[in-house]
Amino acid sequence: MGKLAAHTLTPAGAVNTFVLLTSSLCMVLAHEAVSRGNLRLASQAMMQTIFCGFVFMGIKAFEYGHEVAQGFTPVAGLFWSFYYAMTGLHALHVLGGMFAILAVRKAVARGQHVRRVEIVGIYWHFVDIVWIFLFPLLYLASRG
Amino acid sequence: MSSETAAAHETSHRVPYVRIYWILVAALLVSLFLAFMEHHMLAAALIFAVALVKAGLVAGYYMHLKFEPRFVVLVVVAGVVCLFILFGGLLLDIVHVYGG
Repeated sequence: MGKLAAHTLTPAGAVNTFVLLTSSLCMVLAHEAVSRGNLRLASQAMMQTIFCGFVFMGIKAFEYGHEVAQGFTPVAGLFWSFYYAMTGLHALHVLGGMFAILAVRKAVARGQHVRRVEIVGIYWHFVDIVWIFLFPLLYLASRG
Repeated sequence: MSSETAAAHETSHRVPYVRIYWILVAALLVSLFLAFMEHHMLAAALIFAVALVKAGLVAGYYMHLKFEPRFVVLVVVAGVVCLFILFGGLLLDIVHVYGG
């Protein structure tokens, strides 16, 4: 397993971890802005979170392309099946979170449903936490 | 201030979000450094310990778990325990197939 895991792109995974941590900061700042009644700032912070989501998905797509080109497809072995299942499901949750944040942002811009910023934020942070464990599991811990 | 904004205000706390962010970024760099240690088992253990700290910071401060009642914390801990059971089961299977 170790040799297989060494073929994942650690720099790309590290950058994606940084991007998701940054998106979590933006999301929590959006919640704080709502708490202070600054809906414009909250709206901007949510757009930055969505932008981070796009960057994450772009890097993930690049990784998938690189791995498939090297023959590491989802049927290349147990590790790769696990890798694609876990990262694919995680990416779907990121995508869902981006749509949810976009919907909440539209409502907040009209001054409605501001409480939902906290709810969608908790979801987004959870997606971040899942990646915090997937990154060492798939990119770091099994490089030896 | 609307009732929803007031409700959102109630859950607000003075948390150093940006400072927490830089600690998380520093922890990421520590993880990357540990990945190149010669002792792989020790490195893996330390890398997951750092991941636990990072997850704790995000859950505690960004998800405000640190400021929630104890039963909410217990619900989350139960989920984490189930997660480790899943990871443990998968790890045993992988070790069985590939021989460690």
